Amino acid sequence: MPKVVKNLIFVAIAIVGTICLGFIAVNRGEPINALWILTAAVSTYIIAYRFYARFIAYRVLSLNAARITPAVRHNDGQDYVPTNKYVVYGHHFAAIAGAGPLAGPVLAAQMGYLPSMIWILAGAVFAGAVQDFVILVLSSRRDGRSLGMMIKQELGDVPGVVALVGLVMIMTILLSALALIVVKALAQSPWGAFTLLCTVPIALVMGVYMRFLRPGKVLEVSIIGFALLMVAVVGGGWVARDATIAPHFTFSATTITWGLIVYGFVASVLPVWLLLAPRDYISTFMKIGTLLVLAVAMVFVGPMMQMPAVTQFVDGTGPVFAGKLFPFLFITIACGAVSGFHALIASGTTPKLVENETHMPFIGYGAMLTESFVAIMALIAASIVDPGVYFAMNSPHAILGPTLDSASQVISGWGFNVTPETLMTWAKDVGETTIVARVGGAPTLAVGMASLFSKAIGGKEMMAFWYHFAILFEALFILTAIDAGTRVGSYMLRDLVAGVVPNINRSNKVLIYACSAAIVSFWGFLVYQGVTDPFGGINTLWPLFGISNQMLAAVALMTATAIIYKMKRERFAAVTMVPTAWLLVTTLVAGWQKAFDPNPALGFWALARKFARASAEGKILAPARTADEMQKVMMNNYLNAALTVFFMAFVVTILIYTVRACVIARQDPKPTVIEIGGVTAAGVAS
Amino acid sequence: MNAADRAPSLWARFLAMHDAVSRVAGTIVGVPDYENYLQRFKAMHPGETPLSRNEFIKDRMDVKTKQRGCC
Repeated sequence: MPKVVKNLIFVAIAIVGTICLGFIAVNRGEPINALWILTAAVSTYIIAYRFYARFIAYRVLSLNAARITPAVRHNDGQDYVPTNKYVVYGHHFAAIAGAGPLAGPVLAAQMGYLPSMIWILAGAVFAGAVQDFVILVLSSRRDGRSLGMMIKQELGDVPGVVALVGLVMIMTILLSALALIVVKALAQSPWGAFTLLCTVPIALVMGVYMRFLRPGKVLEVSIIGFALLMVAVVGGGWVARDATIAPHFTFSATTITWGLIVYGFVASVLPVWLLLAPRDYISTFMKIGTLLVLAVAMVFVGPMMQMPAVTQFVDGTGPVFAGKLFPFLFITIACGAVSGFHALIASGTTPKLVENETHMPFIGYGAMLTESFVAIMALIAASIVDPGVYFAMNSPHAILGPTLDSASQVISGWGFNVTPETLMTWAKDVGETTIVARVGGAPTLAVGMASLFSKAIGGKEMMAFWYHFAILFEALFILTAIDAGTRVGSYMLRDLVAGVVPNINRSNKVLIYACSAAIVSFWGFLVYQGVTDPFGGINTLWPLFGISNQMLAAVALMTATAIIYKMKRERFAAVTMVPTAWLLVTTLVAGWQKAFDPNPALGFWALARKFARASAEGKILAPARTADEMQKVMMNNYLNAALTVFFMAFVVTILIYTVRACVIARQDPKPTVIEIGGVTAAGVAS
Repeated sequence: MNAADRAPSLWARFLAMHDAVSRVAGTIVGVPDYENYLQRFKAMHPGETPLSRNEFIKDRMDVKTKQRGCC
């Protein structure tokens, strides 16, 4: 195709995208069709990939097709396996795609869909995809070294250790936030609890089948597992409707929390092939399959956005999470826009699979753009739900009051009219006893997906099935993330301990169990805290997660900046420095506000002080019912404030070492970067 | 006409496609690829005996530290 034609096509795409964005901007008064947003998003991604990713690839990093990647260099048929670029893309996307891009945008929809959409697009294009891509390249030029090792090598031993400690903490907070989402989705839901409970024996059966009966036949066993899961979803419906059995599966949030803690510990110490691997396979297939189906359904149905473009809650008074648009919108949507965790994956298994450097823009930048698209879909799914129902689902009981009447009054008072009858009908339609105060984002997403799918297939009768299918879909890979994350966290903790205590055997069973128990207790405690929190738990944990995750992204980008300086390419360093600066500003401001803001609805310290004062006067504040519980709420919030301060110190420490590394690199007239495969002044492999 | 000259049957073609799709799906999902290991092993260590399929998969599973479970 001649170059002129190619360029014209991109100009056309840019025009289409601009028209869509313009339409969205102009029509802020009336509801618009979701397809405008989808098209704007896809156009943005295409333009960004074609121009910005290429710029970074060839002008900043000088990707070289002749450079030998670690996969080719080692090629051991086990970890280092040169693989087709589409397959590596699929592997990388499956690894980075989790519940994050689904939960964050749903929560952020309280401010309207427009701010969220802009951040998801701009954040991914300029920060998230850049991070994933650059870290992938830099890691593969260091023989596939992990992010922790890169920090140690490029910034120094002290930042290396600090980073490792920070990583363990961030991992545990992530696990607690995800676990809380599952708890809030399954509490008081016999259908949901039954279906999720079934996934454990199904995974065990799959594990045994794959190990002893048909080794390696992953497609076969996943199809069987999927069929069994569908039976479990339908079975859950029977259980929920049966008056004698249903109460046995109706669990309180606290019970589910304990269940998850026990599950997390057991799953992380059992052999991988028995539980973790089969869960991983089936959740990956379901994840990718459902996302594809969701995209097709959205295009096919063309739903109307019902949430306004911007709501009054940009002022910080929102019920779903506290805090103004700046900085909290940018913290709430983490994984869909930029996520430090992806840097771990981009420096994990993926660099060991890439067969050629020129594939990396597609894999690194492309996979993150796809995840951003998932976030857009989640945003749309939350916005096609009646806003009154949205707020009923996502506001805590503390704000809505105890009855359907009180809830609909409060919500209508905000300007989103809803009646108790509507809330009751929705609950019946999806097969739950109530949908009020089902915070955490998963039920809202499920309602959105169910209303979309039932418009496409099955009509209203299928709504309950689709709702619980969607809950299963999200909960399944959250649970996989929890058991895999506990395992990885416990390995990291083991590494830390082994680094500090001399002569300890890393394979020591007691050490393994102790580290798993420590990780599980830490996140379990945070979840328990979230379950007993006055403001609904997600209010507390999700900002902590978002802040720490994006601080990790800032750390990854800072490491990349230092390396770019060492490559003597600092004239291009804006590519990583600008997103770093943005992330530092938003996370530090948000961290400061969460720790020290005088409003107890926002600041941890202020909330702790409020409970401390009331406790000293002998008063009891809700939801505490005894003096003992008052003390607990107080201590929890002091702990949360301390955690926030720790993270702020963590990221500032790395910043100091990064500036130092950049200054040192600048003083040297020649490149000081050390890569496997060598580098010349032009950044070309020798 | 011997067996080598006959075109592959529909079933054989289906099996081949199923194998190909399984391998791709497996790599995406993280399943160890035995055929690849066998090829590499025979090229790098001629004369030695490679692990059997069962042994290989068991070994890879035991060693695996999954870096999955992102947000």
